[in-house]
Amino acid sequence: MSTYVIGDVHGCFNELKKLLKKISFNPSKDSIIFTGDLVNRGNQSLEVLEFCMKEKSIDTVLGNHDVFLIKSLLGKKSPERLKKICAHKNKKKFLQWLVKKPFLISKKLNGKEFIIVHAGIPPSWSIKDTKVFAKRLSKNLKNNPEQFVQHAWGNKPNTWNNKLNDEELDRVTLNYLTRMRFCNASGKMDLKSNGLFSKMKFKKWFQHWDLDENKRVIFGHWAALNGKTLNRQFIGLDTACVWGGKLTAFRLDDETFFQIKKI
Amino acid sequence: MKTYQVGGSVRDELLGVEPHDKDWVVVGSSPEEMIEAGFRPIGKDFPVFLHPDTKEEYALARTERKSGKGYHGFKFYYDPSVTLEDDLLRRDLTINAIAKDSQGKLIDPFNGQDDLLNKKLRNVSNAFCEDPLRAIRLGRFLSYKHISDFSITPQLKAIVKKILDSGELNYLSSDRVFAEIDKAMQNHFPEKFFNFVVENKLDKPWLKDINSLDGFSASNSDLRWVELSCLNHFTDFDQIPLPSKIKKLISIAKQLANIEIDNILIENIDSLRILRNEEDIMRILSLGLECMDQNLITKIVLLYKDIKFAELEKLDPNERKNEKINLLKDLVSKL
Repeated sequence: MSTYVIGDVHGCFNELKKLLKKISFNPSKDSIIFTGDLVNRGNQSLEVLEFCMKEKSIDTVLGNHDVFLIKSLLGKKSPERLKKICAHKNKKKFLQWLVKKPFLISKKLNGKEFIIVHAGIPPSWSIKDTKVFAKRLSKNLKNNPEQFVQHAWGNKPNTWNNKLNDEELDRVTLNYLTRMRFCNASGKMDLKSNGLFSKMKFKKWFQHWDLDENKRVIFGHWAALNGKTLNRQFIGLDTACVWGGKLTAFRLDDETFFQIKKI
Repeated sequence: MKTYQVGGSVRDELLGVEPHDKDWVVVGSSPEEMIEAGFRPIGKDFPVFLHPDTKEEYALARTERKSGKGYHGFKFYYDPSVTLEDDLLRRDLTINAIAKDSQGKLIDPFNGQDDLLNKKLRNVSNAFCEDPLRAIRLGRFLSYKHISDFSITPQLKAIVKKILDSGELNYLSSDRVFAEIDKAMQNHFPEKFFNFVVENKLDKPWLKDINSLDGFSASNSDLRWVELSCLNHFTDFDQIPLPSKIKKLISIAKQLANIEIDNILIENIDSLRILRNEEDIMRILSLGLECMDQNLITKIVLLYKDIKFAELEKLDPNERKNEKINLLKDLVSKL
């Protein structure tokens, strides 16, 4: 009876199977939460998606690439790596499954709270705020996916304030939860830098945080970080599998890591 | 006076690549006239000027003659009678010796356009060997994505060999060598630079015992220096005038690579200055280099950050030192 969080799979199905074997995953006992970005970039996005949909004990938060898949499923054009999914006879089912997935999952275990998001949580929001914003975003996606993908795309606004209209609020929330890497103390994002350095000289989002001792934030998205936050409370699980790195699982019960190398 | 766009920027434009910065050559002018026109002279030895607005480099057409060892053993000759063709003749490669006038007309006396088409790196003349740095610079050209698949003509290969045999590489200034390597580090295929240098034995004396490379995992040039140093167990980067920022990163990387579980010295951990260098340590670890024990280092940093150093401030200085050693001993015992 263990709960694992697994980092960005990006269509690396063989690696996922190998990792599940390594942790002796038993779907009737164990559960898995993914940090999002199940698909795109790698070759077996369809296989990963079908596998995750099959198991009741598997859940995921949505990553930017998953939202992009939703957009592709609704649109006319699909990128090469997502074609198999978008042309599939079950594409409606895929869409229905995806739009119901949350942007944030909170899991309480052994007196600790583990908060799982794809990219990050801005320092200008409390954890409580973030849960409300994430829920609101999920609701808007689920209720009207067509409209959501129409307006949810874009780098602006890159900062939250309480005067934003509904569409702007969707956009900034989506950017925080699924795209952020660097931001300043008031939550203004640098969405252009994706390495280890912010061209705008902003800090990494988690470096602004002073988190309650019993809380952990688990995220993916940032392959360049290669899982190195050097902070016990912020656990980065994207270890660049699709780029030739590793796929990582984190067991919540005893806060232990499991890794396999890209095949 | 007539100005022409010359060199790498013309080449890059012809290859359909946005050039970094444009260089210009000025024919039929004099330093006095240039200064009069508002240009700012730079460089002690060359008749080179900065445009007052664009800050692009404008050089008077000149010829060069080698007169001794090293970079300073050059004689320049410039006066209004030096032609554009004279100036192009002193350049290194045919693809870099194409000029463009203000109407966009190309002046290409050495058929550089053919070599661009056939992807050839061909020397303009035998004067190529007059600046030995040009041998190393060939490697830098290969590190550009749009030039990486060019091949070097047999004649130029022979000249590179001649430069190597002449021992002239020893007389290069380390600053000039560093500038070439650092530019290569910022390009798409820095490994092609190093592989060229190794293949042609141009590594000595500047990059002793360097290995061939498959590629860098870092996309940032500072981190590529760290990677290079770790992959090659470099000990003598001291020869090259690296910026202090890179020197610091390399020295942290060396310390990290030396940490071993059964050989942990408390002083070693202490000297890492983990709190001050946390960001740099994070950068180095993110490279996932196999020469260092990532898990061990991560564990050390996390345990170190748990230590309440502020409490030490309350103690008197002697006690503080002892207590700090105790805390670090405690840390090591938890590994």
